[in-house]
Amino acid sequence: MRGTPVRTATVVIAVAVVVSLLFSTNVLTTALEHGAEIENARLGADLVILPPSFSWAYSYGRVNSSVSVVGPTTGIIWNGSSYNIELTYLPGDIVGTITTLTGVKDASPQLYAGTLNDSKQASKPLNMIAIDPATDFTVLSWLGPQQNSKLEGDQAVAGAGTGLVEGQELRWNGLTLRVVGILEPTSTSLDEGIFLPLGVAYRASQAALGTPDQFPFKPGQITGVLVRVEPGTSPPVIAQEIRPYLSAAKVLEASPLARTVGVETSGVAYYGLVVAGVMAVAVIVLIASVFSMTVNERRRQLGLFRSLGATRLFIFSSILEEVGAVALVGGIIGLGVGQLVVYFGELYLSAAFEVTLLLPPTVDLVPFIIQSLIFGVGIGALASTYPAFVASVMDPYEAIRRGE
Amino acid sequence: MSKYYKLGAGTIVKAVDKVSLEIADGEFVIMVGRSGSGKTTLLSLIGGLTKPTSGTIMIDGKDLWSLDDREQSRIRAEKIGFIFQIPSLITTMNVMDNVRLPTMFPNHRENVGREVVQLLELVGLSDKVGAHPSQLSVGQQKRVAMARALINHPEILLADEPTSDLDKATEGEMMSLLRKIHHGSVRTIVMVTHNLDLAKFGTKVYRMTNGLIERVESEDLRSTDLIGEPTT
Repeated sequence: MRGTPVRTATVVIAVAVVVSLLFSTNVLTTALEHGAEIENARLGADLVILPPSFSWAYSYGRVNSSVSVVGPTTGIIWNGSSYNIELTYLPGDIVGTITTLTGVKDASPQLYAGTLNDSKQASKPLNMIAIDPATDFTVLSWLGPQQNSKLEGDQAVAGAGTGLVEGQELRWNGLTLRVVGILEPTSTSLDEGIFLPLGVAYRASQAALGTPDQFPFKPGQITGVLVRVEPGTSPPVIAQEIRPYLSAAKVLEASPLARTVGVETSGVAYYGLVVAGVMAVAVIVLIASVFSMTVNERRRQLGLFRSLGATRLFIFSSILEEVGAVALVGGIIGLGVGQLVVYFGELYLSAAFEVTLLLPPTVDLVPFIIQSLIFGVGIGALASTYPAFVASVMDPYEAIRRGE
Repeated sequence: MSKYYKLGAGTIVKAVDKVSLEIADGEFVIMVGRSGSGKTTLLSLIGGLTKPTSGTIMIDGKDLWSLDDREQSRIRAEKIGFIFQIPSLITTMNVMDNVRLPTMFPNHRENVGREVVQLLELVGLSDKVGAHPSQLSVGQQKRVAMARALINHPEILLADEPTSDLDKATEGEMMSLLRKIHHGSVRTIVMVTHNLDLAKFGTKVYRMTNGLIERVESEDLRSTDLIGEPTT
């Protein structure tokens, strides 16, 4: 395309637009999904399963719950709110049963283990909640991005309102727990909780047999199960499925509010990729037209090359290489533009969806960069295949004559 | 062999019509005829630049069009040198790059700079190595094209009107060069011209008329041989 700067620029811009759109859509969608995933996890569970003695006295919801009861008899943290229950328990093995149900994405047990009521260690009574770190999706998701979300051994994490600090040691009913993380503020009763591994609570309970006032529960018992359903699955439907299995338990449903985030996120990705696809088709047609013109104008030159000994393959591959080089330049420019789109898109989307966008770390952008460049060069190569083929099969004598 | 063109509405132009021609190693063949008589088409058929409508072109006993594209291209690159009537230098390349262009095919030869310079010395343009075609006269461009045709040491040189658009003096220089080449590396030359005065340079002379060919003696040619209605 030497000597045709406008055409070259047209191809470069066309490829750049498609690559930038693809790159930014991929990155923003990932950021949005990741952010929404975190947000969604933080919103809590879709369902909660409680002992039958649970007193149905509270309004509930996934966010902005009106529940405000926090106290020594609080049994479970659900959606950032504590539920007052009588101290009866569920068998822990129901978690396995629930997990196997179709439509259930996660199920995690919680156990109200007691209350830390020691003014030397904390200025106010704090709920000791045992969780299963392996399956938890409601508590540890409130740890900051720099904090280790694993909870092992005699470790605990504390709510933002507990007044505890990272590294602090807590002594409670013969247990020594080390605080390894502080949850971000939730403005809910999560802020007043201390969360320890379920296994630690069970071991302490076993060791303290004979002193049931300290640990009234037995190993294997839980206070409730928090359930998150698969995207697109209706929580009430899953609740209906669970109830026959657990006739001696109550299944409470959350409001559908949080589901909209996930749905709209996938909508953004869908429309972004559709637009990128449509533009890719338009760009393919554009590049094919531009290179058909170029081949037509260079007919004599191509004929001369053939007469001097160039093979059809050489002519074909030369044109593809030329388009590839131009498309690569367009792709690189497109990545730069895409980065700008990501920057401004992040600002817009976070405002529009009111969710946190967590951009992938630089190293995770490499696959997107490679994918976008391959896509850009690929549509260039695809678009130029036909003109390149026409050029390669031209009769050299005719090409030279018609090119005169 | 024949080469026919369809011009629509059932009109067929017989550019080359049932021509049978054998050119032996070492010959300097001159083809004369008026414009449109089929000379250039025949030359292109001999060089494998266009496929005959019927018939075969044999080079060293091989049917050119029974070979695959790679083999055909190799023959064009290594055995045949072309000098075209039209300006055929690549305008974006300088003289050096134009002359060494055929060494890219089919197997890239490198370090041919010395050869290029020698060829440019042969055609009297060693001082134009870095010049671009637009900086050369028509005669100089023809001589560069000749150097390019010789860079791969072809056995056969096909020259289409190499002296057209040249003044008498330059024409004489070109013919001297062709004779020099013929007595040097290139064994066989086929030259097309409408200049009857040049026929005397050939070891064989053919006259083309309306796609038909006949052998003539150079001394029998008259200017009236070039009078007639164009066919294409």
